[in-house]
Amino acid sequence: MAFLKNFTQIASPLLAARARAYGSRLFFPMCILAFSILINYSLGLSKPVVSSVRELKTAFLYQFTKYVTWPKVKKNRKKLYIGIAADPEMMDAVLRLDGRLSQGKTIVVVPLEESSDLENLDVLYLGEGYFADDIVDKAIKNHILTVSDAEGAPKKGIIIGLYMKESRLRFDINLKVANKSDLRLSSRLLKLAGNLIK
Amino acid sequence: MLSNFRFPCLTPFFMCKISLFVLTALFMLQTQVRASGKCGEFEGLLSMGLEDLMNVKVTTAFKKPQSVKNIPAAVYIITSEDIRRSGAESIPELLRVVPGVNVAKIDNGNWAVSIRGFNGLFSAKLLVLMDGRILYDPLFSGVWWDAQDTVLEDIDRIEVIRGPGASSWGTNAVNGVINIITKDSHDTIGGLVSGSAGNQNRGTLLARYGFKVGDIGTARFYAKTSKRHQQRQHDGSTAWDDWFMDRAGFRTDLKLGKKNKASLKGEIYTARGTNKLIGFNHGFTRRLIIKNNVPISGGFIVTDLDHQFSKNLNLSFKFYYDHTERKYSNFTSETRDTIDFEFQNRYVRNDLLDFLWGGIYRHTWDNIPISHGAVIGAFNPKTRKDDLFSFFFQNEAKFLSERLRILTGVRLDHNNYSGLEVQPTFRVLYSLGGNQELWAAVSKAVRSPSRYNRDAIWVLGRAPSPIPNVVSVISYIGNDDFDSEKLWAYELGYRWRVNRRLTLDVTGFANFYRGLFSGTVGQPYLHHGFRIIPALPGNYGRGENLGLEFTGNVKPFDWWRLELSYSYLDTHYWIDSDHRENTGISVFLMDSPHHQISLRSNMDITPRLEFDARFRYVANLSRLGIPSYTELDIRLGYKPIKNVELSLDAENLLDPYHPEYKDKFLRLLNTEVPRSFSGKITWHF
Repeated sequence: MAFLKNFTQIASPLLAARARAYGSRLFFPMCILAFSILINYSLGLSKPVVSSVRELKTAFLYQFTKYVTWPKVKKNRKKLYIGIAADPEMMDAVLRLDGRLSQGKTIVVVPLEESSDLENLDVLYLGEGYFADDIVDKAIKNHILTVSDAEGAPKKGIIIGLYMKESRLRFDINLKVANKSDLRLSSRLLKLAGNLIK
Repeated sequence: MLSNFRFPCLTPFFMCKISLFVLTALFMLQTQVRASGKCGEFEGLLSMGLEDLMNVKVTTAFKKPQSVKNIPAAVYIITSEDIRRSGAESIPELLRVVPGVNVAKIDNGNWAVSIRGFNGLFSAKLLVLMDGRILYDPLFSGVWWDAQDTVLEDIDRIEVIRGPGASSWGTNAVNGVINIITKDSHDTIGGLVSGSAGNQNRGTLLARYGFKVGDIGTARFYAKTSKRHQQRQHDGSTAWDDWFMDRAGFRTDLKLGKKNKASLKGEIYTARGTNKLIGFNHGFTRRLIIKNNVPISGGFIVTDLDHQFSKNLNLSFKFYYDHTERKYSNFTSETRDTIDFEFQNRYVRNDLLDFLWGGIYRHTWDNIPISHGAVIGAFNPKTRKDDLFSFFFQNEAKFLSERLRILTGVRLDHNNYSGLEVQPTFRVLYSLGGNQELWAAVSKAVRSPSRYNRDAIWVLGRAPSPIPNVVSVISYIGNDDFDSEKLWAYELGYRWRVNRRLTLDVTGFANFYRGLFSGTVGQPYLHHGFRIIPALPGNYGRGENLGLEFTGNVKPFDWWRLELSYSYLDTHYWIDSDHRENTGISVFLMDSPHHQISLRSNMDITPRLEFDARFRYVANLSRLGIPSYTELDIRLGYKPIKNVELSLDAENLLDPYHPEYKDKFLRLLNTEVPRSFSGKITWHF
């Protein structure tokens, strides 16, 4: 066994003698990186970026508006008002729904401020951390479809709660609140929901 | 001959010119199309129905959440539903479902798992992580699969990137990355008790309980114990490879105010079993089969912190400590401790600047005492401390109303073995419209030297001796000349979502390796009464792996899903022409199949009854003498009441026994995988 112990000393060649041209190896990647950043800055600001998860949530929101029947008071209007209180990136994504059609109505996206009036809205999207205490009651009273991606939102009285599961976006529905708000949700929507609170 | 073909792109200057050209062209294109209003990608999402939207997968393959369709790489995700329906009892078994991944069982503890070639007990070119913790061990460069497990029901997803992921995930992510991500404790509230048993699985029990921690978060605790029954050797004798594993752990996820998220995970585990290695007695006069008891133990703690500074600026930190011990009772032992600090910062400015950068400091120290039993090998020095410093930069830019995405990234790793490693990637994805995407990538990745490459002394065998009464021993002697193995990879992929019932995915790749691990026989010399014939490591190997991977998903009915996958791999390895004399290449001690076919079927016969089947064909491993095999696994799942699930699994139905791999590295005695049956009951409350 002794030879095993001494072996590396005998066989051990040189560690230090390797000269490397780090400069040339760095050149190519740095070049790409620098140039890509240069382009980015030279073009300056364009429209704000939304990451694809927010786009996905917006696409869900758009679909939800197609599966809801509002009570008569709101049914015959020509416009569909979507109110949004969320982080600016989510807001930007939802704003891109403005002018599209849903159930023959033109969508109007309304960014909300604290003092905003909810009465006129058909749909309300609330981001995480944009809950106000009285918002659920106001939404029920005004027949508003509430949607949120905040954790456990349906348990807090939001009608549709979005969440990630198994790397896909899923949603739960609080049917109790929907019924209270006089909103009729299509059976197809209910079928696709993960959990139903009845 | 392909083997003589040199890729011109391998020179940095050529690459640089090309990239400058491409970027300039894009710049000009960009200024012209800027005014056009609508966004291709977003339009695509808005035109999808709700059912289709629910099938859009989101991945963190490039360290930030993205829809899989926007990823310029070959990414496959195993979801927790796939895991539940796989009937698998271990992580390597789960990986069998991924197209292009080759999984072969060596014995009950050890597996050979690889992507795009080089499959071995230690697949040095595959990086594996669990919740961001590196499972790759630097001793032999590879994963000790015998120590890896968790509650499979608590895995949220496994993201598998085929192809180099080094620019995001670091050195050794050469041919692929496997990223195991466990569920947020928010998703595991309530209890779970499950038990299973069968002719091979001699009892697996697990319990998990998840609960709320006040208003600030959630937590779960879990424990699992399992026992695998021994398999057999090719001559029919028992393999004595029974395998036991016990583990217990927790995870908690907390929200601290609006802008902070924290997560803490911890686990302790033990495993034990036996295996057999081939070694020698001290006089090198006899070849011995050495039976080892293999006790393994370890634990880890992982902390993640995430802070949102502003709408555009996100910062996350990770810290983990990992301790692992393993012993081969008649050979040696390894104790390893690792601490790791990481941070990552994402800054989003506009369509052209979605910038991600981060850094890592990792310190690992080990202790590998010299064996006192039979002689196989040893490490000198027996303890070693190593540091890794790493920085990565990555930018994703979107052009042409998001139809064109360009991902550029580079990672700078500095390790104690090979110094600075620069690993860039350049990836482009173009949406052709009609739910078709075309992507291409050029990347560089390296496999850094292992402790084995540098510090090991390993007895490979005896040789006839010209001197009477002196034994000749062929011995591998690691040395500091060994440098990293390097890859330039070229990939091209195409994905088409024909409709909601049919999706197709094809990827082709050409991997060019330089500096592959080779061994050169040196001048014999006398040492302590033995004639030593040294085999010295070098980087004289070259290689080309060319391949094609196809996956098709068909959903003929809402209750029936089929997935067909085929992967083709063509390999060429050779030695640099200047060093052909007395030199061999280590790749010849391992092998991957040229063809793999898999057909998976998941049927929901009634809402309560599921029937799943999986057929797989794996071509022969000619270098190892393993014949091809065809196997069938089936599973029947039944939910008698809402919270209870029963299932019956049958695996490897077509053969009573079949071999899958032969390890020539540690020279473990190889076993044959038997037909197996098991039943399982799961109760959620």
